[in-house]
Parts: sequence; C-alpha cells; structure tokens
Amino acid sequence: MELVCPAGSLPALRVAVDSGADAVYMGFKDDTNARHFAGLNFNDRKARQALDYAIDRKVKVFVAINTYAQPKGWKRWQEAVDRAYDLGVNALIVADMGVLEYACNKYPDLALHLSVQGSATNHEALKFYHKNFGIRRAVLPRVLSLAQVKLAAEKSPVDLEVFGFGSLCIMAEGRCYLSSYVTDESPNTCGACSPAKAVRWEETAEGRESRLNDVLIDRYREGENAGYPTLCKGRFKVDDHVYNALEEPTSLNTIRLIPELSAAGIKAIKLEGRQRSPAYVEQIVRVWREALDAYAIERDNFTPRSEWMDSLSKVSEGTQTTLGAYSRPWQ
Amino acid sequence: MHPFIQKVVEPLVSQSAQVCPFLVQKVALEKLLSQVFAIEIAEGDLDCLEGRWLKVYVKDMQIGWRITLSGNRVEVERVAGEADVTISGNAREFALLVSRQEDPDTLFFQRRLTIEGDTELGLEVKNILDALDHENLPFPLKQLLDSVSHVSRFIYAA
Repeated sequence: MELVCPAGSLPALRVAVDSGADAVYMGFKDDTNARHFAGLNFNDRKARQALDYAIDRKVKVFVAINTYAQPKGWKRWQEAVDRAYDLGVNALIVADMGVLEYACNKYPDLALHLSVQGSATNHEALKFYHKNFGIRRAVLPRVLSLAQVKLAAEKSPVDLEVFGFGSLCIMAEGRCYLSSYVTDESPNTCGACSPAKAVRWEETAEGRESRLNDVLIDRYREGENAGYPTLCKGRFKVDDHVYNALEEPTSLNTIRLIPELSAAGIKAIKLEGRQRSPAYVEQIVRVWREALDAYAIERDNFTPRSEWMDSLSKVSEGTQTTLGAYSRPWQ
Repeated sequence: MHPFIQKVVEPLVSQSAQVCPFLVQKVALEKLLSQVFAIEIAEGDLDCLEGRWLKVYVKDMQIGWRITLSGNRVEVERVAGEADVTISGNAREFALLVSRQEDPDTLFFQRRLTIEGDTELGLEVKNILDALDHENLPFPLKQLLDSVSHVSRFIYAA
C-alpha cells in the first residue's frame, strides 16, 4: 500500500520524503484547501522547490484543492487547478463537483482523486464520480466500519485510499457545520475548522480554558491532556452532567488493521496533519514506513510493535488513539 | 528543572547576561533575527508582527523576551511590557522545539506549552518558524541548533 503523507511546509515535505513517504500532499496559501491557516502551505516558489525535491527522489506529489468553491471566489479555485497542473503534480485531491468538472474538462490527462470531503461512502457514489469526472482514486470517509470499507472496495471502479493515522473528529466529512455554527467559518467553505482568530486559551486557577468565539468549550484541569479547540471535542453540560457529549480528543491509529486493509485491496494509506510541525511528520512517517515494510515481510505473522504504538500515542490529540469507526464488531 | 539546566545552562545564561549587557545582546540578536528571516520579511510573511508583540517566556529560568517587527527590522526587548501573544514553557520544551525534535501541538496537548492572547498571531509565527529552511541558516546558527539538538537528546534521553 502507498503511504501518503502530509506537508504543510517545505521542511515538513522534506522530512516526509526522507522518512519514507511514497507520496506527499500539500495545499496552496489560500482557502482552496482544508488546512487554510496563516503561515501554512506553499507559495509558487516553495511549491516549485517541493516538487523538485520530491520528484528527484521518486516521491509523488498531490495537491489538495478540497474545499467547496464559494460563489465569490470561483476564480481562485480555477487558478489553483491551473497552478497545480502547470507545476506538474501527480494528482489533485478534489471534493467540489464544479472543481472536478473544470479540472477534468480542461486537463483530461491530470489524475483526480476524490477528497474525503467528497464523502463518497459506497460503490454507487464512487461509480458516479468515476463516470462523470474520471476520478482515478477516492479517499474513503473515516466514518465507515471495516466491513463497509471491504464492501465498497469489492465493487469500486477506482483505487481506494483510507485514513491510517491522525486527529479524529466526528467524521461528518464535507458535511460538518459545527465550526460554522459557532464561528461562521467551516472547513468546507473557508478551509478552517475552528479558525485561530476565534480561539482563545487562558490559564486560570481552575485550569486551562478553551474558548471559541467567546463560547467556553472546555476547561482542562491540572494534568489533563488537551485537544484541539473544536466544538465536537468540548465538554458540555447535558442533564446536569458535564462530559464530552460528542467525543473525546483522540487520534485514529489503524496500524493493527494493515493486514485487513491490504487484503481488502486498499491501495493507499493517508496520514493526517498538514497543520503539524516537521517533528510530527518525521515521527509518524518513520513509524508507518517501518510498519508497512514489516508487513511486506511478515504478512500473516504481522504484529504491531509496542514502540510504534507508543510513539504514535505520544503525538496524538488527547495523547490517546482509537480504531475509530473501523472497529464495529457488532456489524 | 533538569539538573543540567540548573547547574550549567542557567548560570551560563545569567553570567552571560552580566558579562554582556542586554543592549549588546539586543543588537546582536536583532541583527541575527533580521538576517535569518530576511526572505520572510522581504516577502511580507512576517507582516503579522508589524507593531505587535510576541512574548516568549522560559518559566523555569524566569527569563523572557518580546519580539516585534518595526519597518522591516526585528526588535527584541527583555520582557517587561505587555504582549499580544505569549508562549511559555520550560527550557526543555523550547530546546526540543528549536531543534525540531518535538511538535508544538504535541507539547500543547500534553500541557507542557501554553499559548495565551492572540492565538492566530501565535499560530502564524509557529507556522513561519516551521517553514524556515534550516539548510539556509548562517553556519554558526546551524551549528548552535545542532548542538542544542545533541545536548537535549543527551540530557532528556529518559
């Protein structure tokens, strides 16, 4: 399986390549990608350097243009597609049907991957995207169980990529408006979940308080691990009981599922975290490279090593990991 | 505080502060930072710091600096006044960050780093530092970062 790794900056891209990525994915410096944060991502000069570095080392480069084009900004999405094509990237990761239509008409030879934000959960949806826009690969939503992934893979007309590791949210990809509800901005429309300008942290006598647009979403007591300031991970009072009503801060880790994903015919594993620093990228790519290489040799005898799991838990949100929706044994 | 920091690093920092007055440190530091961030300043990436202050506070050493951009020049002050955003942690955490051994989000999740004030400004500066190409740094600084990396790997190995 191909290892697809995040790059929010040139140093992150270099360590991903050097640590064993088969492909890296990146975004431009605007709201055409779902990690639109100040200071992050690539201008033309850095993108060129990134492409040269990766291509020299036979690593593929994908560009995420995976937000939904807004009526006033359509030109930006068009230009992002043009720029990526001119750079000579290996594929675009796209969610919006308008952007898919533009890219497949104008550049029929450009490989298109359906972004996780496209939220195609079954083979009929995949068939639709394949038939209408010629997509070659789709990233499956993380909300699917392993049984559902297998079912989609059986009849999928295109290669499938799944998430292997990274911060977990409530997984309503491409359809989540929780951030918008509080801040008026969401990943789908503006490229940022809980935009930093709406976030305030305060160390108080009662602990670290996290506020989103002045709404208190969590208070971490001394010694408690923290998470990203997203509404889905806040603690709320429900029937006089304060708890993580939607979900706890946690990261997905599917190293244990490598044999089953491979057997299901999954072609690529994606690691999340373009917003993170080069140190994180290096740590997770190194572990996943080792794990995939070990599986290639050990096959049926593959067992995750505890040092891999520890190393991934350490960099995780809330400092804990889960199999997420993949594991639903009752199904 | 780690014994190595307490016995070696802290006396070194405080003695150098006594031997070398802050004004001299300030001039050297400002020149160095303006050189390191020359491209970022020229391309406007650091405009977010124009007229705004970022404070870095090392808790266990009780020292800090605040930094701003003034007409394309970096300015540094010893902490006294207010800042728009403050990042604080112990010496260990900053050593791990500077040498790119740990990710700031990881340290933040583990409560080893705090950020207060204008989160967006703090995040932007963090991202600019992440994007800084260590290969292009002036040689002495590159050597210094390598030493920080080696020393911190050695003393924080546990």
